Amino acid sequence: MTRQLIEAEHVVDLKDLGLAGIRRVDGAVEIGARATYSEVLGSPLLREDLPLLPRTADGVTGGRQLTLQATLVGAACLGFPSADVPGALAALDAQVRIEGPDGGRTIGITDFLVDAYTIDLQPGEFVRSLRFAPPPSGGRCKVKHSSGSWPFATAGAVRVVVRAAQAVPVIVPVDAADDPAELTNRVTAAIAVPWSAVPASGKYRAEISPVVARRAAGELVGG
Amino acid sequence: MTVNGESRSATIEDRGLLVDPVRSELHLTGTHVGCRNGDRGACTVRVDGWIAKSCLVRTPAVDGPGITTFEGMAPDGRLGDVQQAFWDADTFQCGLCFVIEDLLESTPDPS
Repeated sequence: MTRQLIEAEHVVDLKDLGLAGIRRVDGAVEIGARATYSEVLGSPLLREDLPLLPRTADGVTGGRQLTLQATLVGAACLGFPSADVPGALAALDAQVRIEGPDGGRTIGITDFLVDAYTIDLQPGEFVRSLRFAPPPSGGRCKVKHSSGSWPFATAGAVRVVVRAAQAVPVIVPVDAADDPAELTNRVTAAIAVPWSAVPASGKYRAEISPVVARRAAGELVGG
Repeated sequence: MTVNGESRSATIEDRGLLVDPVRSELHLTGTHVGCRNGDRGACTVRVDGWIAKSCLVRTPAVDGPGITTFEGMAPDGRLGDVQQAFWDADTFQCGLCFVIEDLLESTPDPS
């Protein structure tokens, strides 16, 4: 809106709709759309059940001003391929709870992320929350040439999820018994259309993706 | 709205950014326009108790206790303690004095 890239007839402030908070619901963990990175970082529940999310939030740039305001759901809705959050949500098989004029619906994060900057959110709809079943454990590896730049490829594991390599996260199953060559082949085969943007070409991203995937998987197996 | 402890009035756009009326209507020009993208921090203010980049805050969303700008950190035209420490050490990167002040409120002895 600030840069006139999108136009909206009405802008509705959702802050009093009760969308904040991180809580356990029916054995799952639910993160409200207004839960900020700072809340994610300070949540004992997430540190215990979904530690990949605090780890991801810890790498967010922009300072405390940003982490006090920005949210996981906001990052998911932007659909920026280089952002860490969409890949982390894919690694944890997040379910996206959506409200709209026709009532509520829930879809998986990989269906929600349609393409670069494109999500499955129809006119009048908004994301209410993210819901997670706790995974067993995870590892994480990120390639980024400076703290202020966007990562070129990042991987989180139980299965390995490579982000920033194509427009949507690449999910590759991992077995502790996999040898590195097998994982390399699997990651290479899974990147159907490498994503190119100014900081790095698709070719480069595709080439380093197996490396970061192996590191993430190694952390998982080693841990 | 309450700005630096005083009740102030300003004409705002219904979907405008807070940084604009702070500078152009309230003339608190210690708040700078940098990137309008959230990358920098020269536009940092304290909004309803939280530090925020005012280029990422829509003005109508500010409906709480009010805002504090850089000028509000320096009562009577003097630098606040953190600002003075930054001045003494020749530091730069506007906005960090708010961040440090916020850190010290929650963690008085961070080292």
